Amino acid sequence: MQKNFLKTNRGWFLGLAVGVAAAVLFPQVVRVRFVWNLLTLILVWAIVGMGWNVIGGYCGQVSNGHSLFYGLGAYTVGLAAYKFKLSPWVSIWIGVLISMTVAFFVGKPLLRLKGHVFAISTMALSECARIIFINWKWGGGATGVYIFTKNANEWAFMQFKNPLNYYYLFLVFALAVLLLIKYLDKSKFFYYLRTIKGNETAAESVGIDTAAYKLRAYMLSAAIVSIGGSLYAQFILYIDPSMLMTLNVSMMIVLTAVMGGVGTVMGPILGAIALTTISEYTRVYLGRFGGLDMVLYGVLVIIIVLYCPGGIVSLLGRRLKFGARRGKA
Amino acid sequence: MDHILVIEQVTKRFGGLVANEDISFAVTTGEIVGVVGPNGAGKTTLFNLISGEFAPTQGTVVFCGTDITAMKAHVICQRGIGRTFQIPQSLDDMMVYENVLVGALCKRKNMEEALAHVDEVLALCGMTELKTVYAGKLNVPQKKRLEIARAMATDPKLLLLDETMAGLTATERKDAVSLIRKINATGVSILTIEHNMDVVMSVSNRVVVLVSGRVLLVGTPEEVTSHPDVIAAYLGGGANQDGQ
Repeated sequence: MQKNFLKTNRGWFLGLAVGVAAAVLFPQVVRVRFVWNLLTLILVWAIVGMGWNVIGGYCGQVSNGHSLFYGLGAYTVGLAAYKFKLSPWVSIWIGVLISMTVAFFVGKPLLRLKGHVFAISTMALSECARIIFINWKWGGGATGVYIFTKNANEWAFMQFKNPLNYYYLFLVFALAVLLLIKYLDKSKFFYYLRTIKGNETAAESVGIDTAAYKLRAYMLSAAIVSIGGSLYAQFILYIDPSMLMTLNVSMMIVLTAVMGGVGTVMGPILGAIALTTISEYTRVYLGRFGGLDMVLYGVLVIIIVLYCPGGIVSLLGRRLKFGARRGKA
Repeated sequence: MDHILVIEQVTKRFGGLVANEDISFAVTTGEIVGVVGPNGAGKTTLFNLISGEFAPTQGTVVFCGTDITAMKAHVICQRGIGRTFQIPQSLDDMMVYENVLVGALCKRKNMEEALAHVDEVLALCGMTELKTVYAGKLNVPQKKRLEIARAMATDPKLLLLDETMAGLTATERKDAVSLIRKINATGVSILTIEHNMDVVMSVSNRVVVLVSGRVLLVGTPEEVTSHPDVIAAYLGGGANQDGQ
């Protein structure tokens, strides 16, 4: 469809190359285990944020229940390894299929709702899922499951002794998702999503099947978030509903995209960098003062949202956000 | 004669309110038909029934020989009916060309082709220099023009224009009239709701007069303006009698 994809986005790809080089070299220079963990988590949140951005950012349907798909992705790889000794290389994609199927059946009725009602219903949805998983004995119930596979081949089971292997592997996944989003950014699909976000009546009047496109966006969004959940489970090798499917996780997913800049390619990545860094540092340095870390975290989030409501992307000017599209015209 | 649109005994009720009652008329291919009537006569409801926004309570709408009565709005657009809205529904966070692009993508998968079509439509509508302006920054006449451009980008065979002239100055109206004529010259049939009688009379081949949800009269502009019932509906029964 877009033969000139590389050509028209030369500047963007140049920037990306620099960014990737920095991401590859940074952990080699800063050899601190905490920083390595932080970087790995940033990648997980970047993937998840980019996933949410498809339905919430581009299509304007604010889902507050994406922890459902995060949990489904995590549980699929976790239980596949624990119960069936199945490699995550396979089960990640099973998780994607499960998440997309759930998104299809749940999305069909829910996406008929609009605005706040949709937001609240998705919140209820993930809460239901959490309670079901807590009571699901076979799936480990409330205590969760350790998914460490003994004597397993590191690469075959994605269980590394060297934490940097996680980082570099996740970097590949994040890059793949980023390129997919960048490609779709100027596609008919995403233009249609933006139109639906802008004005549904107008969308229908130009021949857009809004229900079908919303559902497709929701399914793609679920698939990407599911990958993020799967990777997170591999990273900490433990699954548990109270860690994966809470409202906190859903909110963090939304915040990542909102803080970075909704409906933009780079927004969720910048949001993930800012949010994860703030949350990890406040947790480590202030966690012992009974909740002070959460207070500071909250204050910092408020400050950022107050002073750049368009997200961090807006601070970098319109170039990043619209430059390529304008160039295309 | 070849009819592009045939409306047969269409009725729309909203609970106890009858917005359109037993409406029948046809639009001939290539024609410009004006729809006039006092406020609340059911003109916009009629447009919503044709474009699939609502389904009629009774009656049928036939477009190019196909019954489109129960079809959804997006399918009707894909079949070749474009429309504008009385209150412009522009996509304010998108640039002018992107507003038109989403219309162009209706019948095109290829982005380059769609963008080329956008340029053609913008040139037709005289909006080329506004291409990269955000729609939110446009003034009302420009937004109305953008509505027309977006609808035209979907390659309609029939264009429904809902009060494109409302709120425009005399000069702007003149530009809009010439745009409607230009569009009609490309082979697009037009059904237009209009309050401004001068405009309707100068641009339309035929005029449909709606009063209280019913068709009062269908005829040429001359027939309509000289008909005593129309004068009564517009100026009030008393005025008609006094005039005589």
